Amino acid sequence: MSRLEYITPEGYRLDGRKATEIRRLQCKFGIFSRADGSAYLEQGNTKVIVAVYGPREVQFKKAPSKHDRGTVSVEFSQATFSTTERKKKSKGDRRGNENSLFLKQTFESIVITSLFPRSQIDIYVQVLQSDGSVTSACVNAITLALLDAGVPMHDMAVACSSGILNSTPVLDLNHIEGTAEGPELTVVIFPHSTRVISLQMDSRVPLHVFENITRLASEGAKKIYQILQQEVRTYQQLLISSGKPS
Amino acid sequence: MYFPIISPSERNYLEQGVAKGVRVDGRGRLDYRHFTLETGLIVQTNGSARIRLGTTDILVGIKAELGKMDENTNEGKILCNVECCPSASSEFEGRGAEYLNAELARALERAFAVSTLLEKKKLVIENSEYCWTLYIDALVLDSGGNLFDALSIATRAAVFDTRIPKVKIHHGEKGDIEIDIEDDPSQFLQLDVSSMPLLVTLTHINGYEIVDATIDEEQCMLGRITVAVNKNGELCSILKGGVGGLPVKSIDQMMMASIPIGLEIIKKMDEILRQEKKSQLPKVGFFSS
Repeated sequence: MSRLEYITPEGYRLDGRKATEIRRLQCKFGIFSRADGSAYLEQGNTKVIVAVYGPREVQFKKAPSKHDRGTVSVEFSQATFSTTERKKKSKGDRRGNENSLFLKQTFESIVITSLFPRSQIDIYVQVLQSDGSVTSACVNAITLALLDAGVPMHDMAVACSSGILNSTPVLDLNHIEGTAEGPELTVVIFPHSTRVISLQMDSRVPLHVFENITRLASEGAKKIYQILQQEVRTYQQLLISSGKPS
Repeated sequence: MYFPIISPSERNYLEQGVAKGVRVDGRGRLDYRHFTLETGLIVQTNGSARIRLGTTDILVGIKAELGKMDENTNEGKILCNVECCPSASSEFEGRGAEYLNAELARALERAFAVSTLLEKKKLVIENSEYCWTLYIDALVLDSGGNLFDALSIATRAAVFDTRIPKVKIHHGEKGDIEIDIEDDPSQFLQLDVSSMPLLVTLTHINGYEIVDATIDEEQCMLGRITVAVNKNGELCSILKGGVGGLPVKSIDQMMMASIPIGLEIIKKMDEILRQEKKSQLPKVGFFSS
């Protein structure tokens, strides 16, 4: 098996980035007319859209309403043309269900559910193009959509992925780097208190390496937070100046 | 269903407006909304297009895959698939949009079935039993009414944008296959969309027909006719929707009215696609416009 050089000796990755450089982030708010809140996020070539409905009455009997807090439900779906090889099933497959569950558990601790008992928030995630770090892009996009919908949250949750390539710790892996032999860790944090809300990794690493990449991912998430916060402020100014009810 | 709730007074206002020839947004009965069309947005597809008609937002991606030809045919395959996302309406979550998806996909396939016969022959790899299968996947991201028409425009634009690599297949000694892909990125196979039709939907409200109904207008309709019109002004397929019964004379009128509208939209669309091809601007940011 040929060993691809993921980082050149000069420190450049396959797409020209340095080891701890994150990809370009672009986002847009309020893109759908019928959802209560929506957002589009682009992290490099990974493109995600999220629509949020709620708080509203609990729709299905299979998830009974809780008397003292609200529920959060997430549906994760990937467009069949989002990956290099066409996906036959966009939702309902095991990977999709696993992602849905991860996102649901993450956001149930982020959203202040005690403020809307017996109600639910529905989050629908659609991945339009998938080029690595899909879970982190989804978390960031969901945070923005929840902000657009005006859902109360403890803090703005941000996520970032990190890993090791050719013995160098790297941030924000793309698809090729994610499928390489090294570990891939996704971390969701609250940027102000640097508390880890969720963490996901499927590889085997020694403990000191794990601490290293976790810390790196938290730093990366903070960088993402700086950018997203700026975007939110700009949108806020736009709404105020145009006098539009949000 | 997935329609918004509309009150009796709103319904009355809408119907009376249509009778007088002035719709709620100020359009005449046979006026189309302004639409924006972009192609080449998703890099991992062979072709893609996005249309925004009012608040209707549809993204189409086309992927080409190599496979064995069906027996006794000498042509490739074109398969359509439509998925309505929950971002368009919360009723579309899970399997809620199953029937709507099937209806839309079938309407598209039926419209394109005859017109793409010649193009399917282009999809065959010469001197082999292999052919390209084009998977047309449409995502309805937001709905503001008139899904059939918007879908057909976006699909036609995506097929126009599709580039398939040129491929040669050799049979090795032991029956294995060798595939040679053309190295030059400027050499690719493109399909001709000039014979592809567009769907035009005419909705019957209160005795009058309107084109390009918004979602509120669709709530007030008695029935609708969706017609596929090609650039020669020929009708390629007809589909009746809605629960009410339409008088035969009204159906005749609707079909005749759809032809000049279809021709105009085809002309407009071809102009947009020609401009896009000429400008070759790099697409930065999906929702940049």
